[in-house]
Amino acid sequence: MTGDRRFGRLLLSPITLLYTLLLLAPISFFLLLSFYEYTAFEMYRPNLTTANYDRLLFDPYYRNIVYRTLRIAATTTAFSLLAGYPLAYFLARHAGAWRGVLLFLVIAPLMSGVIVRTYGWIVLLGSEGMVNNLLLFLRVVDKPVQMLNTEFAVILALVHILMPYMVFPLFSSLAGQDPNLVRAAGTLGAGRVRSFLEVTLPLSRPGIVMGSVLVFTLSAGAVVTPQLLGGKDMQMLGQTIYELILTVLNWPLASAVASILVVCQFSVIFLYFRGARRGATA
Amino acid sequence: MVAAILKLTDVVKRYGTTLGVGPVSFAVEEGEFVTLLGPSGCGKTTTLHLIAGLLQSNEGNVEIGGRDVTGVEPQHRDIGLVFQNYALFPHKTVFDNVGFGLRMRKVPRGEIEARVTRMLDVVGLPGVERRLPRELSGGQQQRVAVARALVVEPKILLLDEPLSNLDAVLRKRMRLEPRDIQKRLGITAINVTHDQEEAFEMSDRVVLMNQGRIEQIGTPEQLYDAPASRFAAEFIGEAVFIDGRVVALNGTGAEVEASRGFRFKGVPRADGVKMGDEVYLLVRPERVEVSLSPHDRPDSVRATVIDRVFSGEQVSFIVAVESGLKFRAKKPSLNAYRDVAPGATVWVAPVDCRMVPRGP
Amino acid sequence: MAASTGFGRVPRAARGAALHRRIGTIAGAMAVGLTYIFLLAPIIVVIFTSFNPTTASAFPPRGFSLRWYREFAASGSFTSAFQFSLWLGALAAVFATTIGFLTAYAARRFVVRRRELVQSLAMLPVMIPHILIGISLLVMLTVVELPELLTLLLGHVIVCVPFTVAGILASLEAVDPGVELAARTLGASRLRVMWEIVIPLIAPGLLSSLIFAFIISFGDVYIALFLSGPGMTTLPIEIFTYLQWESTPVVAAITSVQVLMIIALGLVIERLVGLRKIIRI
Repeated sequence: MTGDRRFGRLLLSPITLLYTLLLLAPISFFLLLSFYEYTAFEMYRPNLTTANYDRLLFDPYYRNIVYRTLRIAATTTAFSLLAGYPLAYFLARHAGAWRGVLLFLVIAPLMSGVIVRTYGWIVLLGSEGMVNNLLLFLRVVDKPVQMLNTEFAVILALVHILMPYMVFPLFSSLAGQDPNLVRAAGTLGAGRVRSFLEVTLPLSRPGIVMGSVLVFTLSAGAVVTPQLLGGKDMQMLGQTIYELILTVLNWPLASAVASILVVCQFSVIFLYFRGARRGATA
Repeated sequence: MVAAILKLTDVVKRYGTTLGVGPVSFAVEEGEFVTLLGPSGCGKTTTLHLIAGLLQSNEGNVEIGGRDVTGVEPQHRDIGLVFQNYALFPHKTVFDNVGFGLRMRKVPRGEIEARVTRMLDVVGLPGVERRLPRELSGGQQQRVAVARALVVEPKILLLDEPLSNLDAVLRKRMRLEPRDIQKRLGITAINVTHDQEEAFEMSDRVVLMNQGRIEQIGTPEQLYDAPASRFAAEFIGEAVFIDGRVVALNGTGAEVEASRGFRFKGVPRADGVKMGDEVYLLVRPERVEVSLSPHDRPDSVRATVIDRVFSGEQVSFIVAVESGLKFRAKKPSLNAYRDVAPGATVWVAPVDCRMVPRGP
Repeated sequence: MAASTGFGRVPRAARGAALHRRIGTIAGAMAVGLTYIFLLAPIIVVIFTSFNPTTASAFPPRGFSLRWYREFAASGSFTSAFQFSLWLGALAAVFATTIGFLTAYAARRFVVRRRELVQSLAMLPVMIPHILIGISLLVMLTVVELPELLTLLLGHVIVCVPFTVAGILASLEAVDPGVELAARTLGASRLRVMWEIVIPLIAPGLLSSLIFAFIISFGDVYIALFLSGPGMTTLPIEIFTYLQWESTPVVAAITSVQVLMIIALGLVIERLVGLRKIIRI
């Protein structure tokens, strides 16, 4: 019905307005700033230049931050997948009557927000925290280990904070599988490991892709967690942008850093989805 | 001549580039009960939705009560539609369900109450006003759906497979109910079904559809006796086709020779058939006479029983005549046929055979 | 012959396989158990710490006291940030749920052919780093004269909308489209159908969506990080600023209250529609 289409467009107008005016337009404008000249007085001047990018690409300080960010994001993604897969598999296949409660326990930390969980790790990893006390009690160490303000702490907390984003897509793709497929593989002579590797794992690929993209994107853009657990020496791209915007007040450079973040993320998304498609057609 | 209350003229519905329905043209007279019959995917429900305005046609026009309603929204079409699954509002009571259409038409509260009560009486469900749909049985829900569609006194009542959600027993019992209500109120009804028996029992006329087009329109008798196509013959009743060629023609009858040399005499001549034409010969198994003696009918021929299938009310035989041609015959399972076993010799006579023109 | 030699072997092989399976199951259960400890430990530790009588965020706590809860109640900055977050979350939830409903309903019923496209576009804010959204809105304010409070609110609405769309779409799947068409044939306009049929039918889903959007807004850092200002600081930002300088268990007390509130709200959603439906990203 033509009336249907008109009504549909009417219903979609709020979200269209919201996204174009307050999401796409501001982001485009902000990213455009990376090509503008920085001046201390006016903040930016609309003269096109590549000076901001030159500075980022040739200054080892910023290059280091980019490497560190990519390294932390990739490690976080890998560990989230390693820890999240068994959990998602268990929830999808074996949780039974407890599934509701167990899923809730995965969602609850997610809902409590980033700050709460980051603070939890400050308490856990501090020199008087539970981990150090446990290590001292077991006599693994004889004085508290410095764990706060290390890359280890940042990755640990990021894995913790972002793992639900890995678990849910994995859970969806595993729960959506017909359990008869594994049974069929069993009747055809495949053992448990074999049927997992040949049936379950390949079929859960969309979940792996989705979860990894989410975790990578979110960890690469993290500010609060690295700021509180990594400190100044462990700076990541998000913190750099944050400082350039609010403290240094060099917005064109901040925009260039953000552009690099965006480029990194979109290339990851692109590579992942291309890989996923190839996997699906193979 | 009664005026047509519904008229479809060359209506076409496309989905993207694929044809959904059409071109479809037919007219329905006031007070008629017409059924759109056909296999699933034949376009009957699409046609019904085009009439209701839930879909808009790409070409052609729809007239209801002499008014062109092409492009008019469903809420302004003055129709009542009973959905396949009834589509009762699960969160509203029976009263609010039935009264919904009246409320939309801004009928005063007191009148709504009176009319809803009256309509629930008509469908035989007094006193259920305060219940929720899920508290009713399938048959009761169907009646509420009918009441909801009828209470607004629509020009046409549309029924989308109203019986398909009922179990087999209830289904047979409820079959005559919509028609009964329809006749009592003197309203026009368009019904959709894929069940031929149901269509025949309920309808004054049947529109047989296949692959988005109308195959044949007519009374149930016309469709059964004179199917216009092989599809029509196969869809309605049981049919066996024999390839044949017209070998003799006189005024109204013809002689058709089957492939094995067996000749059928006195076959009514179909329109436009010429000497030598290849045709299908329609033999209805229930119209093949079977007897144990050669003397019962002068036109019977000798045949051998090859197989016998007993299905309770009826018994079917596969028989082969001497030229090798085989028929199926279906007879009431009376004692006379009980002892006819494979291998027995019988005399058969296919009567009321029909010629069905061979399509291009 | 072959059958008889095989017969002798089968039990041992079966026993071996059963043992393997049991080891596999135990290992799997341990992995899952450890993952849960990992997921829940930081939150449980925070709750314990909040009852710690001393200044250090130490664990295990040395005693029991409500000192930090009293301190929280007495600190003007934290309580007013808490109140501000409550208001902001409630408003953002209402807007996000309204927009989410309109979008989901359009995608489900009226733009059927472009449905996938609409759905993925609605998910856009999940794919974009939130820090970028926050900064862009801040930068926009230097060009466009918009009240800061409104911008903060709309920023929260943007990050909530993907979740409300997804959740409401799931609720709409359970509504029989025939019911809507029936209302149309009975004389109701599209608007009428939406108001009288669809909204009552998915009321639990809408309520869940409201709560979930509230939770997201309440936990947000990245929008508020750039758009908070004097008199409009959200709780997470207040805590973040505080934690950069010191770390006393008053934070534990505040976050415990927050966690308790969120778990309660989460249980309400679970009862209404099941959390699984809402989280489907």
